[in-house]
Amino acid sequence: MRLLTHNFLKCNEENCTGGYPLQIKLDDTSSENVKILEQDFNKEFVKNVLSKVDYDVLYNTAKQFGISLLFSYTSQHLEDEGFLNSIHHALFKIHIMEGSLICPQCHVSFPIKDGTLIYIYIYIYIYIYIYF
Amino acid sequence: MSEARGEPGSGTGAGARFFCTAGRGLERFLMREVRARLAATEVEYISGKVFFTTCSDLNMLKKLKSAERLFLLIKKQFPLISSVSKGKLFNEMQRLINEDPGSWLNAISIWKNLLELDAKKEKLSQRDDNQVKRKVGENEIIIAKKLKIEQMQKIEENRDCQLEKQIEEETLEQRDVTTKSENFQEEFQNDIEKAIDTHNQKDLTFRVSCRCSGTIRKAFTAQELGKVIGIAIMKHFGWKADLRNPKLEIFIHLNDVYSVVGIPVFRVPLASRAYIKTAGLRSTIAWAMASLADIKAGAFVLDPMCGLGTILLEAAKEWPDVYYVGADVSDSQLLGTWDNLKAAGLEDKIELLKVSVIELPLPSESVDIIISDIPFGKKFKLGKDIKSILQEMERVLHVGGTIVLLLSEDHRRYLTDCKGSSIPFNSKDSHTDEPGIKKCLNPEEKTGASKTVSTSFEARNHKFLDRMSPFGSLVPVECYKVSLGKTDAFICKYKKSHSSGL
Repeated sequence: MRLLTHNFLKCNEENCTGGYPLQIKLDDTSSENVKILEQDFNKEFVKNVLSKVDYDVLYNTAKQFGISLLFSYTSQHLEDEGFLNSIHHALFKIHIMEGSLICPQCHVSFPIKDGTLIYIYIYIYIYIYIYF
Repeated sequence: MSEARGEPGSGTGAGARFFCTAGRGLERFLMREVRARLAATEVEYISGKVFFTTCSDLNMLKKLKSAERLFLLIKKQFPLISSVSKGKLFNEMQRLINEDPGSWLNAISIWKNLLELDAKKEKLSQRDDNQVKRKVGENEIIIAKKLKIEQMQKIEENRDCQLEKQIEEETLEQRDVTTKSENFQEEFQNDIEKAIDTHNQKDLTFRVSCRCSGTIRKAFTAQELGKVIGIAIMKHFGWKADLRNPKLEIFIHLNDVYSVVGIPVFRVPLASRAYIKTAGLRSTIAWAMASLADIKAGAFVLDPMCGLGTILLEAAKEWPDVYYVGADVSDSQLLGTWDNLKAAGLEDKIELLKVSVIELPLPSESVDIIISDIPFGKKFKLGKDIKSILQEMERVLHVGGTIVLLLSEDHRRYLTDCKGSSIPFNSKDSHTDEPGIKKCLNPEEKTGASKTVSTSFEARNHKFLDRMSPFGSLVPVECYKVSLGKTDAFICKYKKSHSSGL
């Protein structure tokens, strides 16, 4: 799952008043919990997408992965290929493979397995233990 | 009256006449597509086929997305009268073949040219192969005689598994026809051109594919007619019939509206895509839906019930600079989609999530476009009702965003009824609803509207229970009835006019 997708995700639990952004927790037991995959760079596309994302969230999330973006940008930066490349890297090339997303409000956690987010509510499992 | 047109020479010169078969309901999309993609002229649509003239080469023709199969037109004329005696009918059919042999030979030479042009382009991309120049010398003698046969074989095989020898022999031939400045070719140029012409008639083997519908079908079987036509062709042109591995396939369709004769341009139907490993929804319909959705560069496109991802694949191939997200609740479907993405090389364009369409973890008004095939309930169960699905879709969609859905008859009727209930409560919607309903190609739509008036009392009750119309802000724009083979469905487009949360 890319950071671009993470930027859009918001907790949708019924009683939750707005869990955004979801916290990323990587699975430390897995050896390859983050992958960097190549993706073609398209300047216009990156500019388009950049206008849609929440930049502060992106900045903080990228930091978590060791990418330090510019704290804020102006329209001049939009023409700077170096800046756009760093955005492209953060948004598209970083893939979370194993981990989970946790809502900061209601603390519900959703797993990411093999790069795919599983955001399906698991209803209550009742385990009955019978002791003799 | 034959309408065969075309010119021999390189490429298609002033334009060749083609026709495509298309699924019922998709003809409109196909006509739009040939005009836009191929700059086609003289576009006409008659009962399941779209006829057009274009100068495009095979590369562009290959890209047609809403057609089933593509054919070069040999003849199109008035339908055969099936009420006459068998003998007379067979005579008529023979006339179909024998009359105007020029149109046949024209079409065949155009076909050849198209394929040669295409092979030449492919060769140009392999020009660095030095082995070609060496081997050419060895094969020059064989070339003159086997020219035609090799070329035909090339057409049949998948180009990826072509034998090197054949590639080289063709390239020799291509350079001749297109007079490229390869010195050691020029001396053979004239010989080979002659060879093409003389061998045209002798080496050709063919097979007739006959399709009958309408009244003629009741009188004769397709096999019978196919045989008669085959014999007439053999007598008239001197070609040999080969049912298993013919070089040339002749396609004939006879019905109450026309008699059409053509040559299929590709062995494999256009509708079966090389880049889709496992198809879910029919690729032509998926593309048609995506073409309605006003996809622009940089958009955020969501398919919340993506199944095997067919719609996203078609869209991503055509509009690549877009952010696509697919979601499904089924593991097996997602795995299938992932396979498809990898096979098509589109994994970097499409993101997959295992989420439920009625609980999308997305903020309101974050998505630009939603395209989805709503399960009809036959193959996949619709666990939730369509109302909650549409409510969630409406919530995440931007104002001004587009939704394109594939709906069954039942779903569409349900949605129309629901919209009908919103009329008394929102006068703005009632104005925008009317043109939407009128645009629908389904003539039943008018009666549907009158039905909703009588049920509006119940609908109003229903409404009071839900505070407000769930689809108040989704305005129907267009609606097309299409055939999915055994059943019919509707491609419906909606736009979000204002925020639904009031």
